[in-house]
Amino acid sequence: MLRTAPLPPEGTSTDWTFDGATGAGVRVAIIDSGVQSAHPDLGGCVAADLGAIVEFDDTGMLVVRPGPHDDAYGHGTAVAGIVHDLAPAATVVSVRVLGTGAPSPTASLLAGLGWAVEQRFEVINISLGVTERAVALELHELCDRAYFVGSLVVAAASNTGRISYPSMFASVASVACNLSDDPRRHHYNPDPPTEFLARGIDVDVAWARGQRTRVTGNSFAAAHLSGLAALVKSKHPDLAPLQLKSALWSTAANVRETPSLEAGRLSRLTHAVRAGSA
Amino acid sequence: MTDPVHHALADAVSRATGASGAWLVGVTAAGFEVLAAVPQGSLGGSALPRTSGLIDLVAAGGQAMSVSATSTPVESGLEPLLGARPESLLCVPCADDGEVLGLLVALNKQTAAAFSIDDVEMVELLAGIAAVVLGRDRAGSGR
Repeated sequence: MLRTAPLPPEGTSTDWTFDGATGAGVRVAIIDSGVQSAHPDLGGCVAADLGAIVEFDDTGMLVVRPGPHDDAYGHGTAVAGIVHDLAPAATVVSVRVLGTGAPSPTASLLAGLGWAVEQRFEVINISLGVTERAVALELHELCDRAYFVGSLVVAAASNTGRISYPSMFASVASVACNLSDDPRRHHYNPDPPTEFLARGIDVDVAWARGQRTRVTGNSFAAAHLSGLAALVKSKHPDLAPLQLKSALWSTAANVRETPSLEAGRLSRLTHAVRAGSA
Repeated sequence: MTDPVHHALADAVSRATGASGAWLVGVTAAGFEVLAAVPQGSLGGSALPRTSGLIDLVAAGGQAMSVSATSTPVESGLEPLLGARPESLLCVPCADDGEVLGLLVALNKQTAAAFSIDDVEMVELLAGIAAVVLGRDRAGSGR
């Protein structure tokens, strides 16, 4: 049975939530293009042997093969680097679902996420989005299962509110970019499905082949929230996903700094929360 | 001859973002096909192979992404036609019901080193329109 810990009755402060946290004891699964485990900026945080790659076997079946693998594009390495920078003692585990030769990333994502849920990672980062309605139920069930076994799934949202799974599921912490250049500064969006905003604009990240580059995208905002979640979880390991989300909500800049949550609806282009999210 | 709607989409991306160029790229079985390019109209119909570049990543991952001109240039996948890596790039998937049908690509923002989040959002809106257009193209061609 999953143990839970009570949150402070007065609400969670940033001190209670984050002070002294390093990510130690937390495993963060990066479901992505793979992670270059030997990248010099990852500080050895990647447990390469604990990861897995979704690929075709000799019979043409899509299978999950545990073990080390490389990064097909650099994206997963970038995500891992952000998590590592925020939670340096967290263990990063790569689940590669991109660049596998599969005709549809959806099938790979389902297989990889299913495997990750079985491993009961504390945090599962999905900086991807699929739009296939036919698999929405299956994907939803996987995300719910993750939630019920204590894994927080963090997913990159769509900026325009168009369908993008799994970010649209309530059990998932969905993330878009805020305007801040502070990696620890995050915001709560009162108008779902996107629940949080985090740093994702012009971020200096690790990339393929030992390089670094500067990128923008909700993928990297999700990575920031995953890093923050790893910090919280390392300090309060008994928090269930609901409580973890609550702690992230209560420490959001626009919750701590603005007593009223009447910050407006998240919409595209002009939005009160994002405009105030520097 | 470039489809006028394809051209209009690429042109809208270029104007909205202040990019020096913009492409509408279709996803094919073999890789990609340039459906419209502004201002390099002669690139229409050109094919691009699948590589480990940014356009492949965005097509596979379904998430928009941009790269800044102040960073180490990353492989975009457009190099066979561009002849060089773009300095700054914004790539947005055009997806409809489970399938990425194409990409909208903005190249080399002229007024800043990086495409802004407003640029990303604007191109995502245009990508939604492009997805409908590409879906109808595909339905019309019987594929």
